Amino acid sequence: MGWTRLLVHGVPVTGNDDIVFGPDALLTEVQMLQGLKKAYFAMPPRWLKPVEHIALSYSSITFAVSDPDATISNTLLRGRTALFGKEVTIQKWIDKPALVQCSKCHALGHSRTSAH
Amino acid sequence: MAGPSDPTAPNKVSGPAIATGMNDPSHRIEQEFTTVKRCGRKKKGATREDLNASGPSQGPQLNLTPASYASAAATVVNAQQGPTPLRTTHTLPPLTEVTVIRHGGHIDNQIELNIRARAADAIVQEVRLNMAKAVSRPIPLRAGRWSVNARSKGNFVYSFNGHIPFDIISLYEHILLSLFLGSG
Repeated sequence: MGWTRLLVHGVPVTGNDDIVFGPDALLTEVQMLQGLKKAYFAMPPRWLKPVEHIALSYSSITFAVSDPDATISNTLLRGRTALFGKEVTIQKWIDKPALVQCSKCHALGHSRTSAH
Repeated sequence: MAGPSDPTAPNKVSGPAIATGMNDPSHRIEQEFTTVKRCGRKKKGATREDLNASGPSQGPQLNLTPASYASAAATVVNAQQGPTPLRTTHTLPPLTEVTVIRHGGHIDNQIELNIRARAADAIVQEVRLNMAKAVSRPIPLRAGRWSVNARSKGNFVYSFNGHIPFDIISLYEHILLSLFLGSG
């Protein structure tokens, strides 16, 4: 897999003008991080929640970059990173597999068609 | 149930087996440890004899005598050691931190409360904006934080990317201190 998806927590939602940082502002700020200036974004930065559902001053963003040798993600995960003037926490995105439950026997891991 | 005096009974407690004064080492080891098959993996409590007998990957055991040790040492004295494997050292990006010492803050308490009520990231964003207005390529201000908490003496720490000499940072002193209204 050539790209890595990351999750960034504690990102300020608004600037001093009380306007929510949009996709362009997020991309510009994320590109200022170490090693991301010329990186290819498989998924540009976006807020994890819909903006209208963000009630706090800080929230989480996610993005995916092309990182075949994992140097970018290793640098970001080990170092101190800041976005919009605040230190943030970065972690790898973990895909959770869809929960499959049998509608016949209610067991997990298979659907009804394969239930005995 | 076998008592500690029965030499044939298995016993997990090492004390009584030693106290019986048995001189046969294999017998003693058998009584000190419970032998458990671990599929060849080394586990805590496994004896050296067990590992040598069950470990297929280990070579034959060499029993060194003073004469054989001397000959072995003589053969390896001129042997060249292989190149050391390259260690991947991961260096973190350098940072420069500058603290604004505020000596208790502004004289006016209300103004001081307003200053301290501001979020650190809001201060940094405004300072970055002011620096960008002043010069085309400002120094890379990345973050800022109140030194301890909101009830501290009000010191503020600016964090810059890379090694930035203090004399260069001091060129931006008026911008860095402008939000503290002369109290830094």
